[in-house]
Amino acid sequence: MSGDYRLLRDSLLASLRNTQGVVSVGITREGGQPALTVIVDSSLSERAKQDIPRTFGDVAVVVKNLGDAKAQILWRIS
Amino acid sequence: MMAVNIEDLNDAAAVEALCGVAHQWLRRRGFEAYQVYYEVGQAAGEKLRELPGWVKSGPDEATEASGTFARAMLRALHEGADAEVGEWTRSAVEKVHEPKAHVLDPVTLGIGGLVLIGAILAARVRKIGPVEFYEDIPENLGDVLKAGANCAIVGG
Repeated sequence: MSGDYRLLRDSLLASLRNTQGVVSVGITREGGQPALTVIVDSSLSERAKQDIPRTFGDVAVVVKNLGDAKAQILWRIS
Repeated sequence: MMAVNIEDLNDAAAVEALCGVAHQWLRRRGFEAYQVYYEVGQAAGEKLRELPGWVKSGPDEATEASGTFARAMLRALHEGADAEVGEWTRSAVEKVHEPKAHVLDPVTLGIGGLVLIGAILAARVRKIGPVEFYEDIPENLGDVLKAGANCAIVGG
């Protein structure tokens, strides 16, 4: 992955840092195209869900819901 | 790779060490771990709900079955293709040998928990053949682990 995508990931991560229910943010490939994936769990409110952008810097944002998983180790980027 | 004494771990210590490795995966490569967990949920579906009860238990409720399973997973983790995971494993086993209890940060995953997370990681890094790795694992659990092993992850 290029540095540009990493910068975008870090920016999206920073914008979601205080959003309860957001577990992790990373770079993925969806349908062959690079995407930013936001992993959330069921503690994400409907309102907060609306605040997650559908694109970020012209890159698609995909939301994946872990359901009732609760994870308190957050914001770690490998 | 430094030697590590997995075979002498009792059941509770083995489960605790496996949870410790899972904990490191979540801490150090969180996005990878959560994404794999998500993909396993998508691929395995109802099979996740049919796992043996001991998969969802922690060290306090360790049984002979969970201890045997944990020791096998620790061997695969330690001898696997990922040197960093091998080091996490050595460290986790050393910690449970220490006199003081190793306290994990609270992580709750709806289905499975840290034992399952650690086993999925073991299935992903194992070097031994599939027959040997899956031979003593209950069928439903094996199917879940195969879903995790086959899940391709891009980026981080």
